[in-house]
Order: sequence, then structure tokens, then C-alpha cells
Amino acid sequence: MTTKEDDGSLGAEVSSRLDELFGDEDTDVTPVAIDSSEAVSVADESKTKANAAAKPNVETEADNLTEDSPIRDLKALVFSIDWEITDETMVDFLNETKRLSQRYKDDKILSMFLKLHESIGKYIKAKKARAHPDSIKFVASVYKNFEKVLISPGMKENQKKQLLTAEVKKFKDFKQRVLLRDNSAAEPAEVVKSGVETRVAKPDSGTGMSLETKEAIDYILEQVKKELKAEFHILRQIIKNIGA
Amino acid sequence: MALINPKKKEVQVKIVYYGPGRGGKTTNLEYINKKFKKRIQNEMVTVKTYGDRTLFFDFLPFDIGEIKGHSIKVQLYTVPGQVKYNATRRLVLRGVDGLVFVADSMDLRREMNIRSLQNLKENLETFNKSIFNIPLVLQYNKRDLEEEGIPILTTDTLQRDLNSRLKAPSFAASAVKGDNVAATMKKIIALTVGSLRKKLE
Repeated sequence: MTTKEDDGSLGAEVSSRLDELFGDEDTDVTPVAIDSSEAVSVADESKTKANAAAKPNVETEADNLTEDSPIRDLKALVFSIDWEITDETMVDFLNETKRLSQRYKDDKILSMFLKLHESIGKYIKAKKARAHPDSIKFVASVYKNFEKVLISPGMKENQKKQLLTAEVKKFKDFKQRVLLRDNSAAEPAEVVKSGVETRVAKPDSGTGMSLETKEAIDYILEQVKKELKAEFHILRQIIKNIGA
Repeated sequence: MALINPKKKEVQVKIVYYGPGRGGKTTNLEYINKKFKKRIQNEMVTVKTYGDRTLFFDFLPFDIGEIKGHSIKVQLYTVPGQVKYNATRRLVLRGVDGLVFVADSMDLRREMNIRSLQNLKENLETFNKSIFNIPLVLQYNKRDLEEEGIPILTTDTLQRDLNSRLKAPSFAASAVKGDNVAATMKKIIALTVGSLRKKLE
């Protein structure tokens, strides 16, 4: 552990130089005290249960969920997908979506939100790490608005519909981007140097949409069409009833 | 392994900021670059594709002047956090001299912190390096979220999860606000240059 201690004159010299360079910063530095009372391996799986809900981070801004919130597990899974796309995570995500769909089957807007979750979940499960980079962003966005609708009892129906419509639009845009990417090429890397972006690499162009991608998109489209059709049917019924 | 040029009396030190995705690694470098721009006099290079996600790495080089007759050049790197970019992470880790592990204090990120640290340990082993022997500083980032009422892990919990065996210096920080960002960097540079003591003397 000698490397973890800066010692002697060299350490002092380096510290002094760093203070000269970065001296007016962090003058009240307080390192965290090390509590070595409990030896835990860096890989100790027993410590890995992230079992509490947290307020969403920068990409989500809704209020905290309560301890017994029914969507707590879904939120944890959305975060997990951001870190790693595994079969296990995706199966859990789809199962949770299914469970919640059953729970909120009488609420058309929530059901639609959950359908969007399911559709994008199935796409990510099919593509895994090759999923479009915007997939995760889309999942986070759909979840954020789903949560907002769910935990805002005072929200008007119109507002809820607006949020849903916005997500459906995002889904359509996302679908277009997936098609574009698969039809042309993987997104080229960019170098950003002090705010100036420069393309530096362009991966080989694809030869067109793979069967797997096409199937996934077709599936998503089909699901969304079904749901929109059902929604329109309900709306027509409502209008009819009002007219009568 | 630091690059030492005995003729030029020049030492190049590579420090990598490691940790789970969206943990604040890039924000650390951005803060340093912005705050100390005049003193660093170099440009930060970010290689990315989509939006705000680091898919390759960030790179910030600067000089800290002469120490023991050697000109010390520091290079700060970040790695992409998501698991699927492990090949890139390994590539960036090649030749690393010092590490900052940026943990996310958010409650829900607890498991990801642990998995990422384990991933670091494994990746270092592929280069025959031990996480226990390399200069390392832990940073518990996003402490500012507490002020917004967002549940975060206590530093004790983070210490138990991540640092009970490593016993590395650690800092509670907010990269967004800049709290302890410079302190973390100064500590890792001091440790890393300190670890080169024999080679410099």
C-alpha cells in the first residue's frame, strides 16, 4: 500500500507544486474517513443489492417514489439497462412491464405508456449492445413521463395525453433514426476539441436493414398500431356517447 | 507504466478516471478544464458519438512543471462507463499509472458502483496489475443531490461497499459544483508521482 501514501520530500514537493497550480481550489478539503471495521471484498455480491428507490437523476425529474411504490422495481430496471443490457435485465424489465400492464389495465394512458416500454424493451432485448444508442435515452424518457403521470393525481387528462402523445412522437422519431442507421451506417465517431466537433471515423456502411432489426421494428410498429387503433376506438365511442 | 525520458528529463503520467456510466467522470475533467484553463493551457479532447455519452474517452493533458529535475506531464483520461464498452475501457487502461474511481452516490447506483469497481479490478488484472497496488483515489460523486432531497448513499455505506479493503484516500464530491474535484485530482497526481519516487531519484 505504499503507493497509496505520498511520502517524504517528493510528496511535499508535488503537493506544493499542485497547490501553486490549483491552489485556490478546495481549501476546505475533507477526505472521507476510512471505516475499516467491516472487511468487504470489492466484489462482494452480498453487498450489491440496490434495494432502495431513488429520485431520478438528471435525466428524470419527477418526485421521489415512496418505499412501497408499485413502479419502484421498474425504475431500478431502467437504471440497470443504462448500465448493462443483459438478457436477465431485459427479461425482468419485460416481466415488470407486463405486471404493471395488468395492474393498470383499466387506465388507457398508463397502459399505452407501458406498451411503449414493452415495445422498446423487446427491441433492446433483441439487439442488446447493438441497440441504437438512443434506445436507453428513449426508455428513460418514456419512464420519466410514465412516472410523472402516475404520481401526479391532480394532473388533467389533457396533460396526460399530451405527455403520451409526445412519447409516441419520440418513438416514431426514434424508429426513423433506427431505420436510417441501419440503412446507411453506424454513427460515426466525433472528436470534440474545446467545443469544436470533427468527424474522425466512419464505420463501414451497412448493406441494409438486417432481418433481426426489421423484425424488431415491424413488431414495435405492429404493437403501436394496435394500441393506437384501440385508443381511437375508445375515443370514437366516447364521442358517440357524448353525441347521443 | 509512466513514460520516462531520461535524456529530456521528462515524465509522462497517465491517470484514468474510472467508474459507472453517468457517474460524473467527464464532468470532473470538464470542471478541471474550465476552472484551470489558464493554468493548464491545453485543450480537452472528447471522443464521443451520441449526445452526452462518452463512447471512447476524454483526454486532458497538462504540465505540472519540474519535480526532482524532471518535467512532469500529466494526462487525464476517462473511460466509457457502460459495460458494453469494456474493450475501450481496457484500451484506455493500458499503461495507466494512477486511477480515480468515480462512484455515483445515488442510492439506486449502489450495485453499479460495485460492479464497476470489480470490472476495474478484472481489467487491471489483464495487464498484470493489482487494484491494491496501483495509486488509487475514490471519489463519491453527486453529493449535491442530497440538497435536492434525493436519496443518496451515505459515505459510510460507500466506504464499506468499495473501500473497506482498498483503504484508498476518498473524497465526497460534487463534480457539477466542483466540490473536491481539484482535491481528488491533486491527491491522485501526488500519489502517482510519489509512486515514481525511485525512478526519479
